Amino acid sequence: MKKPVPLRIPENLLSLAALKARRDRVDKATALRQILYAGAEVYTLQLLSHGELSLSRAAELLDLNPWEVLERAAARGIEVGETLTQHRAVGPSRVAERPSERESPPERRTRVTRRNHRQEKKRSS
Amino acid sequence: MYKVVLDADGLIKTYKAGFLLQLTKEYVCLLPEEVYQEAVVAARIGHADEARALQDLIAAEQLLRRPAARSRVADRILRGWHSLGRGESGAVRLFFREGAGALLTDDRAFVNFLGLHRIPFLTLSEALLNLHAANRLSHQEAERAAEQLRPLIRRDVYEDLRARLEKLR
Repeated sequence: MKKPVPLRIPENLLSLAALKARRDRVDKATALRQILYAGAEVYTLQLLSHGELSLSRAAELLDLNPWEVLERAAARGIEVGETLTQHRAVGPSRVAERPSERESPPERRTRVTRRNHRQEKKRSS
Repeated sequence: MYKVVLDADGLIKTYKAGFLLQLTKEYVCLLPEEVYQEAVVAARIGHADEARALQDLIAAEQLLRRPAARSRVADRILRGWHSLGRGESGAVRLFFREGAGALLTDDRAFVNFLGLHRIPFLTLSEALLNLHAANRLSHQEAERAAEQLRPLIRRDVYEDLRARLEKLR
């Protein structure tokens, strides 16, 4: 669904849109939407790479399927997936927890892991 | 057998790396309806071959498709968490609903969420090493799968995987 949005656009971007419109033989509004979408795609892929969006959420926001999102990230050379820091921080024992532990995670542990989460974000930024 | 819930990331990457079939033999692989919709149904246009191959695995009951699950525990921890999509949320609900052993994913945001809530997960490299250790994959097959994983995972994670595979030689 498309919605009209009142927007002030800098003149240089309008000139770029006009250039693209002439080059691609589309109208100026379509050219502007394409430029906006290209920027949105890069931004979304960066958020995916930084762990601020999941693959499924990125696909929803870009109106693509997850296969296409992974392909576009690869085409732009944007690395996605778990980081080595995350990988080493949690360790292989993570699959050996009892179901009872999962149902009600103790508050202390949650705080500890939340701190780990912040550290991981700080390292990545 | 150990129950593992797959999200779109885990499903697509294991398929692309060529060890999804071996994974279904080692673990009970559960596919949430939400993941089925986004990674199989939505992929029929543009990724028809992949969608068909996954559909065949579902038809052969190697991948077990499960209807959208409800879980109060999952709803509580998912509340206000906007970085996850319908697929990951569905996978978390199914995890609690089925009392599964782990979630299979390599998604950075999802791994952050799972680590924060102490939910067990398996990454692709761990899964690959487990399959190799369980003799589901020969050393050569594991190396080939690692090579196919290369463009789908981070370079340092790939190098770590290769080093760990080398130790198992």
